[in-house]
Amino acid sequence: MALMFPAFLDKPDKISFVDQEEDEVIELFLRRHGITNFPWIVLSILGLFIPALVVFLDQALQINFISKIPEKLALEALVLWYLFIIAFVFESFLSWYFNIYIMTNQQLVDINFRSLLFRDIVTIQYNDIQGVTSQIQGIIRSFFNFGDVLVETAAKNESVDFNDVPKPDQVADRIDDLQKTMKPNAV
Amino acid sequence: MLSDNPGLDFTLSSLSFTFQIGFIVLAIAYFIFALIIIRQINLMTETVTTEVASLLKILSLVLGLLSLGVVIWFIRLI
Repeated sequence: MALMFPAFLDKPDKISFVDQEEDEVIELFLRRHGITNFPWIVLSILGLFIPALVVFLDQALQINFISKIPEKLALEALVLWYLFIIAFVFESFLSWYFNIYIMTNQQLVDINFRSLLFRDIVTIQYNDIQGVTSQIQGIIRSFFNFGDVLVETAAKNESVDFNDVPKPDQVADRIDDLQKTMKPNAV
Repeated sequence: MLSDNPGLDFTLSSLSFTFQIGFIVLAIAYFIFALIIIRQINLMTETVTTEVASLLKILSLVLGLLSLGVVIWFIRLI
């Protein structure tokens, strides 16, 4: 998944986003680390085997319930079950794929799709950034080198989090560098 | 499936029919969900343009057609 759908893209040239200015260049394109998809992938794979497991348990425990269900009904239930799994996989993938953090040469953009049809885009100008910190907590995050980047802003006195992004130290560094570029006189 | 007890047969067939109707309702709900996914992917790909945008649109259309096919199939199974 990491190779097919990278979570860390440095200066991608085939990606653009809504409201992007003509002279605005994407410096970093980020989404949550691919390993964060592990739980739903495992759940989906387990889900594929649930019907077989139910049949197996029904026979092993000699309940014989399934043999009493009309074939048509059993088939319909099976089809609905697999449709449910397809929907779960699709939604989980879309939720990961389209929740994006973008660093351009002008601003930070946080794109969230919180529900099926609700889009939330937060932009932060580099001038509004007060501080950037990165943190990697836990064994899995340390092993796969991903974590959170916390961006504190002056404008609204609130912070914006880049959650579970790969190479958070590098991301924080880049934000810092871009901020200095935008404010050449800053110390 | 049929037993010697006509009352039991009637109960089983009624139950079976009820489940089939329930499954059709679920399949229709799924079809509506698939339509929402098509709209959602359009919104997403309008927001961020990537290389796989057209592939995702095709997949969502396939899911929509598949779910419509399932609805029709379930209705014909009654």
